[in-house]
Amino acid sequence: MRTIKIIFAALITLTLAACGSTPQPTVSLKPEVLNAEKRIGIYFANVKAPTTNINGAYCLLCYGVASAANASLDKHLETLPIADLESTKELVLEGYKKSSNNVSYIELSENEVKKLKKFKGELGFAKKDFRPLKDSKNIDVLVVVEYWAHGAYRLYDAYIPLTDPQGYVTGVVYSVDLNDNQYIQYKKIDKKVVVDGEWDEPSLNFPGVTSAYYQALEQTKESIKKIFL
Amino acid sequence: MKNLVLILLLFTALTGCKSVKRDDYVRATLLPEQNLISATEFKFYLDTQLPIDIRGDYSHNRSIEGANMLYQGPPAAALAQLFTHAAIASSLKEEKLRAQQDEANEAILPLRNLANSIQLDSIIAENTFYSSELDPDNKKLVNVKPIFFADSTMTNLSLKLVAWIDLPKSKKSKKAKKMYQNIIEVHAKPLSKEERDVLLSDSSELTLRLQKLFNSAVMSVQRDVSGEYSSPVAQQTLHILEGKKKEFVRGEVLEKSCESVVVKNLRNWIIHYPSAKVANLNQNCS
Repeated sequence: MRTIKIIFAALITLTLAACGSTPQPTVSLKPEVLNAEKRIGIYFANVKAPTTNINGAYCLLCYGVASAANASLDKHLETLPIADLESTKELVLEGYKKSSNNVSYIELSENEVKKLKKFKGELGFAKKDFRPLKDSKNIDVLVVVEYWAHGAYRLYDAYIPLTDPQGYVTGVVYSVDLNDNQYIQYKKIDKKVVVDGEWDEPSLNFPGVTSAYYQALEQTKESIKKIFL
Repeated sequence: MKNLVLILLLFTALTGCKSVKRDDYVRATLLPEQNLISATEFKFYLDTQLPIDIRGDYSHNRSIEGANMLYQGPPAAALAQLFTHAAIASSLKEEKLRAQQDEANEAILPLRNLANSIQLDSIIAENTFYSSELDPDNKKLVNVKPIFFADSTMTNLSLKLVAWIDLPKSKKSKKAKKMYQNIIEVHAKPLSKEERDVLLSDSSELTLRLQKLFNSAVMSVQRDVSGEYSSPVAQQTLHILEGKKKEFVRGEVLEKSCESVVVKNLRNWIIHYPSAKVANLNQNCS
């Protein structure tokens, strides 16, 4: 009976342990994989308008209340241009041009991305199997620039805000060798900038939060430049 | 109906959770064109009885940890718990900010002690725009209040000059409204360790440095109230070097010389940086 209990506990432990996967650590750019002839394609995923990203208001009513409380900030953030964030793809292009003479942007439709199968590799390998793109897009290396969220970040504990809104950009920049689906480079972007002083200035179009957002954008650009140092 | 009242109360409580007001912060109100003050008419008033206010640069981060509150009982009880939770969170945020300010002040104690020996009127020196009399009916007299700052190494001095013109009190409102208010921020060139040591041992050296910051700020107040800074300029993000780190400021460049760069930030505050600190403005200064 005792052995059964031990086996049962071990199985539960193993199952639960498998639920939390280890996050992919940063991979510094491996220049030895690149050369002047390598065909590099940069895919810049669609960027949505900036908004307030609420974290920690987990119940439906909490989220509704938090969302309503930040509605005027949301409305303002949505008016900000995304050109600055989009311009980061040029930094990536310039960075890879240092290693190859054959760098260009590529387009990938939502359908094409969806069609890509999962890749069961260990850490250091992309989670999707990008290898079919080698032929279909005529490239050796795929570079992905993807922003998951940007605008402002605010942490809640149910209904109660724990932080003031902060300038926010989060996403990832990575490149994959399409011969083996291995990362040549991987860097997560997570920039949160505290507003300098008062934040709640709706009549002035939230200059504090807007300024913090632009600071987060500049920090993102600096992080991208560092990939190629 | 009862539910609606509850939701309204809840919303009011939550929108009440705003950030703390600080005297080194104002919402800029710029002078309307018909009230602009010409350079020759400009005068400012400063209460010289006040001590020199020099504070440590503090972090504005008021973020706190979650308390994992569980609301229970009937709606009224749960709502009361929610209010308590909101009040505790708000108080913790204020407490954190206050602690950061106290800690920053503690770090520059030698400078604060030295500043106690200086009179505020020595900072004004012979500034020709100074008016020693406060005339509440004079709509062309600008009140100023200087708040000096220093970082923990005491090598970076700055000034936030709060400037305002009161509107006469109306019968309806008890509080005087402002016809004009703004902040002029001036950052000094960073001091070397040797210069810092001289500064800490000589109050006349400190007086001179504070005086320079103050005079630059007053000149900008004059330009601000005369409308000189009102023409819109394209916004850009400036890269400001703070030691080995970079800070970023979004705003309009109003003036640039080999000595300093003057920026209007998104709050309409006027900020002076030493040119050597601005990394991304092309200037041919050797």
